[in-house]
Amino acid sequence: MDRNRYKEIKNEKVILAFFCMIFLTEGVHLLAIVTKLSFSACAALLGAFWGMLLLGLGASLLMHKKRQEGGGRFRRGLRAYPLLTLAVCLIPLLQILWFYGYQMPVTAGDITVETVQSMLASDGIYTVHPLTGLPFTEGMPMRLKILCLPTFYATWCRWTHIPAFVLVRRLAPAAVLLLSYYVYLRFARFFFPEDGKKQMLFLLAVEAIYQFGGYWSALNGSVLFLRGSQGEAIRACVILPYAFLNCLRENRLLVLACIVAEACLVWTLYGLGYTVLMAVVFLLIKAGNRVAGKYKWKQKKDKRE
Amino acid sequence: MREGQYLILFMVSLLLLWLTQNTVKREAKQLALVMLLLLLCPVTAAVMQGYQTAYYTADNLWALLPMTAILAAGCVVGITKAESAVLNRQGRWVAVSLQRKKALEAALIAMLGALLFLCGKTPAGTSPEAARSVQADAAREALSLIDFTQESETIFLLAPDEITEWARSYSGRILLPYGRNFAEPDLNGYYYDTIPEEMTAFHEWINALLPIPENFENAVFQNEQFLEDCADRGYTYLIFNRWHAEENSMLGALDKQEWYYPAGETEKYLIYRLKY
Repeated sequence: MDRNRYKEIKNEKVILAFFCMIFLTEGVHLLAIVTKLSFSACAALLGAFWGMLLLGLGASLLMHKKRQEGGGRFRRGLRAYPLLTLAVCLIPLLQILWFYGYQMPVTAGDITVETVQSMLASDGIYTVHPLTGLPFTEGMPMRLKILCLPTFYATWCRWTHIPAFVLVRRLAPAAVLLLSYYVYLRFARFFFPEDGKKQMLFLLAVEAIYQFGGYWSALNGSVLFLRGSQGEAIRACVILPYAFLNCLRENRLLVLACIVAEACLVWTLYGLGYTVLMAVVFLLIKAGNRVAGKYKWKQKKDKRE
Repeated sequence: MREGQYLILFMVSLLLLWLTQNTVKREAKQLALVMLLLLLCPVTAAVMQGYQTAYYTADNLWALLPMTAILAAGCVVGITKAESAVLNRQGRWVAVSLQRKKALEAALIAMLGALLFLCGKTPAGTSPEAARSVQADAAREALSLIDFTQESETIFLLAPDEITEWARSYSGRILLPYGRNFAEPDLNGYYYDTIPEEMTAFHEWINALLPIPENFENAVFQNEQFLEDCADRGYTYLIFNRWHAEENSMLGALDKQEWYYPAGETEKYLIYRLKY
């Protein structure tokens, strides 16, 4: 792996930790489905794995902070363009307070909270019908059974003792929102390298688009603020933008990670999701560019001759 | 105009990014353009709809368009270009103070913010949402009257739809004879299980949708019969809308029956508990 690519990955610890957590959850979730492991055992296993992961992340972030000279990017930004930096930092906080503190999220079509409550109450993974709490008579499709998001939330509930409703409807969407802004921060640095002001402007524009882009259900703002804890929101606001960024950076490993993460979180026609489609389109574009480049080069060569 | 404003802004952004010199990578613009064409062309859109299966609506496909990234990049490039156009009037740089430059930047940012605001809409805070919030609070108030203190006790609840909607998210210990999939059939797509047919009568009765016999005695008997059936099935809690419970025939049946006793009440609901 070349140095720059390694540096890119090293600077994205938070999102990588999130992906690792999802992969670990999926592994344990599948194990539980196959071996009929109880939810308590799953939560204990995941607690141990996540604990180690989060400890590592915390230590690494602390070490990174110590290494920084002349204050972090935030402080430097605050000194150079205080109003812009403050606005960029305050808007997400106000959005979290307003949307997840005072508004009622859309519950239609979403059974995540009920599924989490079922796991906690029955101590099993998909052993009872989430909408009634009674044992399944016919069961559920395997394509949905393999998705690990409810196990992910239920484990957080078990370890933090936060009520499922609060965690799924209030805290998880807030975390997804922040994660999404983090991805766009990486975008800002990629699009406008070495220009802190443009990076801040980019983030401000993203925040405004999220805030006012709620009129259409397909827009990120609408998905995040109304159904933020669902896999579809994570896909639209975190996984797809991150996959797009990594396509542009030509980091195949992270694109693959995005594809797998999508398959763990959203039903994707047995693994063939939107990220795959985006990656394929990108590869075709690259191939087209290469052919066009060769053609142009050949034409130039012919002219010179 | 309801939809599509941001799509127009996205196209303008893309055009701006194509036509001006900027640091946004060419592949990013190409991918955005190709995705836009794939989504707009009816043939490719239909193929993509088939790829994602009919489980998701066509709207979901628009997540593939890197709208936020390209639109935001277009905003930044737009501000930068507009600023340099104002400062570089008639092909020569105009000397301006730093304060004026900052004021110009602020004005441009405000204009762009206003454009995004006028083209869009804040997602929540609409009246149906507020109404749902009031409804949820009333449901939770009623559910809070259920006694959860005895760990081993099964809590089996029959309640109107607006309570059923919130019951399982309130507590995993509450069991229901049918879930909110009764009122929201789309949710049946998640499971193979179906709602037993005999539940329709209970659903209609608890939601006061069942026709009341004209003869008062018959009406009371019908309600009594349902209450007995509920007790036989082990429904430990019944929640009635106050107006439903205070209707004459129901009042008569509740007075006559011996299976349930009042366990609490709220402004909107009456809660009855099974006698052991």
